[in-house]
Parts: sequence; structure tokens; C-alpha cells
Amino acid sequence: MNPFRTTAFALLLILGVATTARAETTVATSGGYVDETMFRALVDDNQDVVEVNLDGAILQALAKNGSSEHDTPNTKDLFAKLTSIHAVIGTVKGPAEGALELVQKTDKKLRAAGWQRVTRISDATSTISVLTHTVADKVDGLVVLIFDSKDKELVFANLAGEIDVTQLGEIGERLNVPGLDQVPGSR
Amino acid sequence: MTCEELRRHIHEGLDDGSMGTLPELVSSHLATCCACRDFKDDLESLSHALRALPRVPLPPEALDAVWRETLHARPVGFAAPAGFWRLAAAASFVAALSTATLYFVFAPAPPPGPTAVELARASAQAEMVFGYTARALAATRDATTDRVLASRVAPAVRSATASQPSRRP
Repeated sequence: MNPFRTTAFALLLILGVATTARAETTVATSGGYVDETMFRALVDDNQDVVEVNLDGAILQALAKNGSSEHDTPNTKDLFAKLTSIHAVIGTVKGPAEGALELVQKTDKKLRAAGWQRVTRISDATSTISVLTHTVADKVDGLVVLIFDSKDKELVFANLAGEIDVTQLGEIGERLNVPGLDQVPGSR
Repeated sequence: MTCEELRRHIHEGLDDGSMGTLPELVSSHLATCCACRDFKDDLESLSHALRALPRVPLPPEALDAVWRETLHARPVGFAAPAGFWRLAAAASFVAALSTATLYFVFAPAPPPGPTAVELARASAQAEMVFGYTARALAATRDATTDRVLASRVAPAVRSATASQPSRRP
């Protein structure tokens, strides 16, 4: 057998495997946007799934017109500066370990891509990660990953655009969305 | 031959110097028409008198002046009557009005914006995401507070408590 040909074939094989492995674990990000496809694939469609995909036009309409009694100048200002809101909330279909691993891997990959971890709280059954992406001292992306291995509930939320985290926290707490008391880590 | 045709022949003959060889028809007309004969005699006298004048060369300045005038001469603009401009303005107005009407009638409608229902749904979804985010941020704040309390305040409180005498009887 030609040793040169064997070596070349082996190199090509290694390169292909490495590329495939990398593609499988790469988190697609662009600025403050993070692709939610991986998490969507993990969620069980036979149970309640909430998928949020709000982009420029609808966010600008919300900033201009508003639509709920909660809308205040601060909320409209927040909408005006956001470029997208993506979220996947649901129950994972596989074993909880797989989802937990994906959450941890995503956290790691985002940090490798230049995101800063604001917090990571883990206990026996739940994990909460908050990461931000910053450009010129301004937060232009925020990712929230919450996973409760007991209920197998997964929350992935990504806000892209100029974000005032303090303002976002105030607005979010004022909204008092029903059911959020059950979010791991909340009091 | 008419008098007009004969006079044209006389002009041409004087210009090209062929007055001695005029056609027979011209000669016979001249023999019978006194007015044309006088016309021919007058023109010949004028032509001889002009040829007899001394030749004066054209001064170079005059030639330059002629060239300047020729080169700088602007074409004469179209002198339209006043009514023409009114008509043109009216035609332009009608054309613009027709174009605008056609545009508004046939132009594709702009894409419709989100409906009130879509806005309400989007608002609810966004609020839910904000809520989750706020809870995660609150959990962050609480965890940070707990850590500070555990690492800094709690020992201080513990030491303060230890140093105070017991109030129990």
C-alpha cells in the first residue's frame, strides 16, 4: 500500500471527524443573538412548549404603540432598543442529565465566544446561568438558562440589542407574570 | 420666358462672367422687353462700377474681431410666445396629476403592520421572557447577598454576639 496515500487518507479522516465534532458543539452567535435551535430540539413537543421569536418589526411596533396596561415609557424604551427576543420554555424529552449537560456546555461555549457570565447558581436539582455580551461597555446581549432537573423544565431566553439590565430587572419584577414563583432560585 | 426667369439668368451670367454667351431665348426676350433690358443695363453698370473700385485689404484686427464674434455668438433661443408657457405648465400639471392618481390606484399596498392581536400576543410573550429574566437576575442578586452575608457580615455578627454578655438571668 502506498504510505503517502494512507497518511493523506488518515489526515483527511481526522480532519473530517474534528470538523463534525466542532460543528455539533458550536453555539451559533452573532453579536448578542444566540441560536435557540439546540434547545428547541431538546424540548418535548408532546408537552407544553412556549417558543418566543420576536424580531425588529414587531418590537418596533411594541415600542411605538404598546399593547398592554403594563406598558410604560420605560418598557417602550426597552423594546425600542431591543433587536430580538428569543425564548424556548418547555420540558425536555430525554434524560435530565442530557439537558443539564447542554446547559453547561452552552454556558461554556458562550464564555469561549466572549460572553461574560453574570451568575451561575447550581444546587442539587437546578441550574441558573445568566450571561451577557458586551460591546463598548454596553450590554448588547443577554442569555438566561434555567434548568430544573426535578421537573425537567428548561428555560432558554435570549435578548439581543442594547439592554439596561437594571431597567430590565425592574420591569420584569413589576410585571408579576403568573407562575414565575416556581422558577428555581426565585423567592 | 418670363421676366422673372430672365432676371435670374442675368444674375447668374454676371456672377459667373458668362454674359456674352446668353441663351437665345434670353436674347430674344431682351430684344422685345424694355424693362428687362433696363434691368440688365443697370446691373451691368453697377457690376462694372464695383469692379472698378480699388481693392483694400481687410485689416487683421477686423478679421480677429469677426472670428471672435463668430466663436462667441450664441444660438438664438427659442422665443416662445407667452401662451406657450401657460400651455406647457398646464400640460405638466395634468401629467403629474395623472401619474400621481395612477400611482395611488395601482401601487402595491404597503405591508400591513402587526395587528392588535399580534401585538398583544407579542407583548405577553415579551413580558414572560422579561419575567423569567428578572427572576434569574433576582436569584443572582439574592445569591450574591447570601454570599456577602456568609463571608463578611455573619462572622462580624457572630463575633459581636459572642462579645456581648448574656442577658439571661
